[in-house]
Amino acid sequence: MDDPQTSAYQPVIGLEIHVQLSTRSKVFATEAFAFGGEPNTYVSPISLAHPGALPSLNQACIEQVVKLGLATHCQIDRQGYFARKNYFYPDLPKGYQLSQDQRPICYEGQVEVLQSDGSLKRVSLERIHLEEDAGKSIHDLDPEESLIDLNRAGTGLAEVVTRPDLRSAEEAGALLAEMRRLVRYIGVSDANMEQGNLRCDANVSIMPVGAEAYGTRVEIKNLNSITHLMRAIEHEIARQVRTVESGGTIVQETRTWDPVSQQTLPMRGKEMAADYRYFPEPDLLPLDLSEDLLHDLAASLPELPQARFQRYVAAGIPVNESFTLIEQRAFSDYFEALQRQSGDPKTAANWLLGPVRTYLNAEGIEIADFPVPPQAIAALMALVEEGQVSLPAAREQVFPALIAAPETAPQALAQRLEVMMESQAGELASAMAALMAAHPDEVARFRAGKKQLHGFFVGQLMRQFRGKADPKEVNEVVRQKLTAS
Amino acid sequence: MVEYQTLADIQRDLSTGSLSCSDLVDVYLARIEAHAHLNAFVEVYTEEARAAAVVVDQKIAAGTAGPLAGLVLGVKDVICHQDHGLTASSRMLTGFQSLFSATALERVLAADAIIIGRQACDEFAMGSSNETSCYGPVRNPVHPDYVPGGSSGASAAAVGASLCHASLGSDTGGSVRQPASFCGVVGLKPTYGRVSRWGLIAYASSFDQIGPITRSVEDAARILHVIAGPDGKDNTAHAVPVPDYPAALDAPARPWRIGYLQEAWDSPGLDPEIRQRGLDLMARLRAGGHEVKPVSFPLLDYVVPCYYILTTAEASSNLSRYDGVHYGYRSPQAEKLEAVYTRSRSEGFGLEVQRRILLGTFVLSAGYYDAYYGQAMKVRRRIRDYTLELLSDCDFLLTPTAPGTAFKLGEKLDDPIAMYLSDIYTVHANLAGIPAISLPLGQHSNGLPFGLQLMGRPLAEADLLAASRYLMDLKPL
Repeated sequence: MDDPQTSAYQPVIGLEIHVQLSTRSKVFATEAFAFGGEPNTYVSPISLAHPGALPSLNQACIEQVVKLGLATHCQIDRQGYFARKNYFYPDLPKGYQLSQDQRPICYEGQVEVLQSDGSLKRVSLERIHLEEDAGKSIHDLDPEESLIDLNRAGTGLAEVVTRPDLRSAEEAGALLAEMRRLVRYIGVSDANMEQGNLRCDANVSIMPVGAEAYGTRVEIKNLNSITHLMRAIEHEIARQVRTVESGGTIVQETRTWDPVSQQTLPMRGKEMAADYRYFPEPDLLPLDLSEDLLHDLAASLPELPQARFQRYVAAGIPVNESFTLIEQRAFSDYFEALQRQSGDPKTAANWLLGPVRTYLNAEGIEIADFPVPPQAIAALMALVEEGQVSLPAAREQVFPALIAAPETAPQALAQRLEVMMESQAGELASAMAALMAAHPDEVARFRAGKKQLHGFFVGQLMRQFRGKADPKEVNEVVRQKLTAS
Repeated sequence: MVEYQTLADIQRDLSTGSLSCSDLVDVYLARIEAHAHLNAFVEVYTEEARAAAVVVDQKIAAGTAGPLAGLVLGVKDVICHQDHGLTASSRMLTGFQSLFSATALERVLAADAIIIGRQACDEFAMGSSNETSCYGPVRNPVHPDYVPGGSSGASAAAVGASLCHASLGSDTGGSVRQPASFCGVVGLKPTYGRVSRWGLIAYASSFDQIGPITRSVEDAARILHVIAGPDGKDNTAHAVPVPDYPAALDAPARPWRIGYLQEAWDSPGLDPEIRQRGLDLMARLRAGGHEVKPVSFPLLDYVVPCYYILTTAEASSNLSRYDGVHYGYRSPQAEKLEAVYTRSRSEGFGLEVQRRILLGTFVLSAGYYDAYYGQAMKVRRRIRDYTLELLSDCDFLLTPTAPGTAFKLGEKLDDPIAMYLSDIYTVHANLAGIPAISLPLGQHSNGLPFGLQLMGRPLAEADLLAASRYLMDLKPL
């Protein structure tokens, strides 16, 4: 990507992101849907397109798309309507897909994409519309025939269409990651890419650096992971640069990404482009979304991951750690509870990204399955903060005990483990006096300016008290005695 | 058996015990057999109707019978009936059985109507003569050389010949009213959205309505009262509560303001006898104290082109589901996917259906969309707005139902434009979404009946039906 040929060109990229909505029933049919059912079990006369069947509209899907639109600062078309996209395909029983054409529910939005360095890249959205998914054609199970599974037919998809604002594969990957985070946070999709909950098409073109007119764009279909998206874009940019540099021209076409050979392959050219004959869907009335509904949905939105990120960075948590904290909604929610109860975001982040995450990784579990509630970790943090338990004892002894007995108060566990530090100011003071008497030279050298000897006395005292003294308290006693004249 | 004019007459005899539903069903079954040459029924539910009659007779005896007890009904072959055949009179759906029932059909059954059979129609309700049915043409009960009209031709013929007491048809551009006119019966197309379309095979979704074909206005009111109303399964069904249509018939007649569309009555294509009958009726209305005034409808020339562009566009999409893949006809010659589509559809659909699919595909195509579909949508809006404006100043609009009486079998089959123009007065109400009714008010010197059409305000079926009964009862001057 860094060779001089490539750097003479500016890539221009836009994405179409298909978000499968996490409603329990289909968007234009009444039956339930769940991932992984036996083929053709989640079907009805509506999704099978039987004669006389009419679509019904799942209000929950509308609300999810509106939420997504509100979270991406879109305008909401309260009178949007549906359209039919006509084409023949065996996994599309009606012969048309219910979608939106002229009046999508959401338009003109924007997403601030968090880049890996913590900076923000603004990407404009052209629209977000609601459409139904098709079924699945399976070509590799039977040697003779193609098989069709219509479970997915009629499930709701939000299609997010960006402006061509992206300039690199990294930016495209960051946008898809941002959208995945966002839809999970606001609860409109599970966004599991391996289950096809989140799919992406990329429009890629190149132009000479400094040019204003975009080049001819190529659409790459069905990119089903962030890695594939980035690889496909990188390779497509390189292919286009090679083509132009060798005197060729880019033709408008649709290509597909082959992860095995790591290249994009032609699917169909412009002359093969289907004429979808969109027209307004007469079986569904235009939407009539009330102001009240929009207000309610806006009020129902949680704090978005980006706002959390900014807040964490402002609280002094490093950028990369803030990233990790917001990546998953549940993890971030745990952190929110922990920092609220402890009142100390930085230490809370250290606990969560330290011992807690180490434990989760070792056990291979998610935060949802972590047995210790945030208030228990906060209580343990308080013991350390108040000097009652040392940090190493807290991490290495009390924390494992807490995992084993999450119902027990950390203080009780610390007592059982005999790691509670009591205030030993008096004993420490007399022990220090004895120590100073035994080491007059060191005292004199300290007072002459050799301040490192402070550590010598601390070490001696700690050893005498076998780690049961509070280091803070020891430090304080040593400082007082040595500086007292 | 006397030919009952109204369900009320039937119910009176049922209540006195001089008649039973079982008797009634047997009479109709015998008449269906005797009139087999009309070719009205695709399938007769002999045993099922007899069994239902026994049940309804028991309910009548127990005093628990529903409002349509004693109604023996035929149903057009585009209305879904669970576990019954459903073909839209097309080879494409030969052998197909519906998994569910239309809302309208469920409602008449719940009201204790007895369904005696399934009636032929023009294929996928596309036609004005009932000649495009895959089961062969249906004949006019008044004269078998003539068509019964279409697309609900068999449904009107069956009522006209008393093969059943009433029928449920469907009306996209006149498919209930024009055959009612040709067969001398009453045909009502409700306001778009008044009757749920759930379970009605779609021809043109923004035009289609189920409507009753009856021997009397009163029965139209009673059936509409049962089938109308909101339905969660049809997003376009009106939520407005259903008034008591039968009760509204007894409301005292008030002076109506009736506009007659000048362009319609002055049209050179209109049969002079039908025109004269209209003028007579207007004179009698005036004599009855009603205001009858000419209104201009300069858009009349646009209604047929506008209608055929929009309905074929919707039809081209609605009929895409019949692709040979999931159900219905699949060409035995086809192996590859492309051939499954093209061969199944070429062999499964008749020529008129193919003509309309091609036309509709064309008007929606890139490069033609704006000139045809887009333009027609604008024209439709103007027609609707203009019509509603007329109806703000008139209670009703009066036109002929069709330009002439029934034509001969085969007469217009090879001239689609002439066939389409026979819809000129009826498509107006479907374009505007308003209710309209054809009333059997005329008897032509050629021996055939004809109807006159009254159109009303959206959702004002109660007024439309009350005025209709008044018109039917008007005595000659």
